[in-house]
Amino acid sequence: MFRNYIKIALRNLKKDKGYTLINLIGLSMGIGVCLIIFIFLQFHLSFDSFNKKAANIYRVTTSEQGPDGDFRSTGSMEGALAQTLLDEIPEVRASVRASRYGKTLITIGNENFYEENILRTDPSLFDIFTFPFSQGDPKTALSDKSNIVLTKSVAQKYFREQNPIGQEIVFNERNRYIVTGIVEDPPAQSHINFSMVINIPDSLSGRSIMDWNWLRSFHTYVLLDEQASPNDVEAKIPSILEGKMALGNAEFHLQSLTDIHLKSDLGWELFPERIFSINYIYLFSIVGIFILLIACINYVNLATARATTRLKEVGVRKAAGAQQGNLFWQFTGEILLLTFTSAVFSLGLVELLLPYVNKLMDLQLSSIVIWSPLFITGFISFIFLIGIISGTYPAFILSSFKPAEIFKGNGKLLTSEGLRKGLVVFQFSVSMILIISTIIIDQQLTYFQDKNLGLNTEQVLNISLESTKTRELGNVFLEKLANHSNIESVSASGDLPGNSGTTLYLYPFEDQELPMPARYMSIDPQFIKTMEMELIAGTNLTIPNTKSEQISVIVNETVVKEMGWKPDEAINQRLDRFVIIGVVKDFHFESLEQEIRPAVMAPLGDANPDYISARLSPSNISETMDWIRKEWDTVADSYPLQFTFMDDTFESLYRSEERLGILFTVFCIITIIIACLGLFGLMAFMATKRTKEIGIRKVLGASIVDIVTLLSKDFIKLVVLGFVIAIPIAWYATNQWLADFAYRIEVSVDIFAFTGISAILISFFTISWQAIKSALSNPVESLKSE
Amino acid sequence: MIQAKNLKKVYSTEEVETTALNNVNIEIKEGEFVAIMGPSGCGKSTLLNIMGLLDNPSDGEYHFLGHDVSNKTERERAQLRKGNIGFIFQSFNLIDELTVFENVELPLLYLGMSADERKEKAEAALERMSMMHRRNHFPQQLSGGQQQRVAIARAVVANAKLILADEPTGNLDSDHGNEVMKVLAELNEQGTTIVMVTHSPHDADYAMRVIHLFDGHVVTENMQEGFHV
Repeated sequence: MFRNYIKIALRNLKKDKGYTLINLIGLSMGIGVCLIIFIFLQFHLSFDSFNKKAANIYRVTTSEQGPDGDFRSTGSMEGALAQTLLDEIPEVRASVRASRYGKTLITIGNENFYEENILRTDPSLFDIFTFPFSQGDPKTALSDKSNIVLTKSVAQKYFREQNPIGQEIVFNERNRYIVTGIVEDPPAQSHINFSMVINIPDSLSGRSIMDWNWLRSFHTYVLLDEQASPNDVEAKIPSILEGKMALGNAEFHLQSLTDIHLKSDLGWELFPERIFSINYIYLFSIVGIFILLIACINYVNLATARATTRLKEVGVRKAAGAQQGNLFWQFTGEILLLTFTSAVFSLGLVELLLPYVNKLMDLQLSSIVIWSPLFITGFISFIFLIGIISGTYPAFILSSFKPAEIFKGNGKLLTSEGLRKGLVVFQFSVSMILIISTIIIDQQLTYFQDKNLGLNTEQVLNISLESTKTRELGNVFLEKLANHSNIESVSASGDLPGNSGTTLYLYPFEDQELPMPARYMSIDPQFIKTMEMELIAGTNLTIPNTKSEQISVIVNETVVKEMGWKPDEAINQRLDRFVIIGVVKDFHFESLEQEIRPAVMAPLGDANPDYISARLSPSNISETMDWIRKEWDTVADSYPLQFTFMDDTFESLYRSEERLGILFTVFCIITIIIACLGLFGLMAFMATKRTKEIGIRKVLGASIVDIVTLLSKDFIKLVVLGFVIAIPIAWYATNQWLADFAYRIEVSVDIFAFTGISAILISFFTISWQAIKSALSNPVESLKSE
Repeated sequence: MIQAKNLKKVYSTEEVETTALNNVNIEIKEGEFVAIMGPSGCGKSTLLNIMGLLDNPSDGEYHFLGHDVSNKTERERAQLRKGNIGFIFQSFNLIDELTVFENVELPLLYLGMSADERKEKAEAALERMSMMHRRNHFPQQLSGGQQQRVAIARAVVANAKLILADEPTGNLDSDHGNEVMKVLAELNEQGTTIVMVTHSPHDADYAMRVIHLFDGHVVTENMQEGFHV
């Protein structure tokens, strides 16, 4: 019987190639998208699980109320915490601290380089986490403070064929390290990413790291006993620290290692680029399910519409002795064959498309997971389930036809038209929600790019001075830049808009308990001009009088508003330890997701700058850059030039929104293709079914326009209904997303109107081909065949 | 074999109620060849469907092989139908996607027979209908007469006790039609009960008895004298 079902299923699918193709394409795309989303989700959900002891590793975090009254979570702990937990809590088997060195000048031989992602940690890192060594001994690799461990790719980069073990690397022209180990590169799914590993020093600025209440810079991890309860351990921490550190209202938590990547809400992460949001996991899961659902709906719609073509067969089979169950499984077999064939195609589609997805989204997804035996087993079950979900209703409908009704020639047998219409409406609602969302994401991104930032980031070169030597040479280089005709303006500063920066807590009034958190930047007098900020009151900074007790500052409009002043009223006012001499129009120094906070800009004075900014003339930028590189080499010789363009820096703040926009565009296109395929198939079938009617109408005088309208109007009505349903859902969803941005577009009626019109036009084009074909057919032929 | 008492069949839609059969009383014994005649819309096919357990009467009793099937469910009727009743339709109703052999073996498939058994019986039925040489062809490749012979083979393959034929020669020319009627007559001689709906008095001559229906009623019943042998 089973072989019979397969044989019949194959022949039926071969018989109606158009129908089969539509379903194959739709289901392959739907399943393919789900697979890619699965790989994406699996990548994120299995972060850090490569660690053999992952189940027992926790990061210590605190949540506490800040000086401004807001609660914040942090993972930055005291240097002595790790050892204290290990000594005083029996369930803690091991502990380790970790901090990250910013961009550092390293010298190997006579060559200078800058290296990021340098991890400062304890030797126990390699006991707790799984970073396999390819050379050296993990037990002793960090036994001395002068030891350094490199990753394989970094070792290859700097030492090539040479054995790196025993080689010397100098940090910042003073700290010498000897390479004692090479580890495999941390996996892409590790929240701890490093290129080099060194020990945490015993002291900083002459003070012991193990002193309490002065330095909180270390992320602290603990490895617990297998049987230990993290809640119990958490509860012990405050009492252990009583008398050692100022606890205030801090609450301690143990965050499971495998939760860090998706559920972290710390104000600052060691490797923020390795942190993702679980909300995206939910979002993409939902989108994937909907896309697959739309493909399955196509099958349901087409199968039920075509049910009338199988009536004779059903009647004959039942007359020959078939029970409803026999027929149900026969028709279910057809959909299962279709879905399994689509599944095979979808696997090929994933292999083909994944490299493009990785390139587009800057990811490192691998398809290896979908070829594992465990996945294949699960996948087969999943495909079976899809087949059953898609096929149950049509199979049930088909198998329940009564033979007597069939042989009576009852043309009005149930065709489940209401359900079909409902499903088409659903498909187009989802498509339109995606279209509207995509447009809004795109508009919001354009808004970010076009918004007046309060400064001009175009053609602004930011040179970062990463080492003591280059910082000393900063002003010399600045002089050279100032004399170039293609450089309109230069300035020096200790910080830049677009960086994460420093926040000061200012107490404007002596009796005020709540401080004003303000972004603090040290700048030279050229800064305002170079950034093309607008001074709206007072004067620019001048070279400060170092004997003066008062520090003159320029503030932004937000400071003035918070103090209840007008800009002119702010001049010569005291603000904590500062005196205001100028007010600039508000400018964005962070992502537009954040509201502009108070900002205070104080003179750089005699301090060496960390940054040089140069506004380049728009003509001959590449020539100017060549000249800058050459001049840098004459000034700073062996120190690599580190620079970015300011507009790139600001753009990179919206990388995740950009990626979201790209993804939504892709989902949108796929959904529309699948929905339109379904519409095309339905239309083709309806046109065939109404051949006789069309022939009669034409004989009676109907024009081509009349016929096209007749065939199209019902479908267009469904699309319009889908649009009406989509509007409130899309409105709510997009406003929820936009609510996260302090600066955002207003969702206008235009977007919805555009979406509705586009959807109607796309649908019309999809169905018009078939409608016009039917309208042009010879009525004699169509009536003859009846 | 068949007993219908006060059979009534009413079809109801939202707007109208149609009485297809009203107070029909029929008895057909085993081995009979009965023709049912009447104008279009008189209820012939409805009666045939009820006899073939493809439909239930709205009222009255219907006994088949001693079972009261008047109120049986579709499932129960299907069980009784399997192997006991064969159908021959005016438009042949072969399944286009199946070969001649596969069409004929269909009833045996639903009886759960093994592949070997099915092969043996289907080939025997095809031999009987002289269609063995076309066993691997599809219905579209056969003439009308050949298709009807295949349909007959399908109807008899499971040794059905009763054959119901609905205008079996309606789509055939006279030669092929005669051929089909001869086959039916032979089957009847061999003991198969045949109930045939027909418009054709010529075809009705093959029957022992003719029942005339009009507007859902049995109006006359004649024993045929000198029916075709």
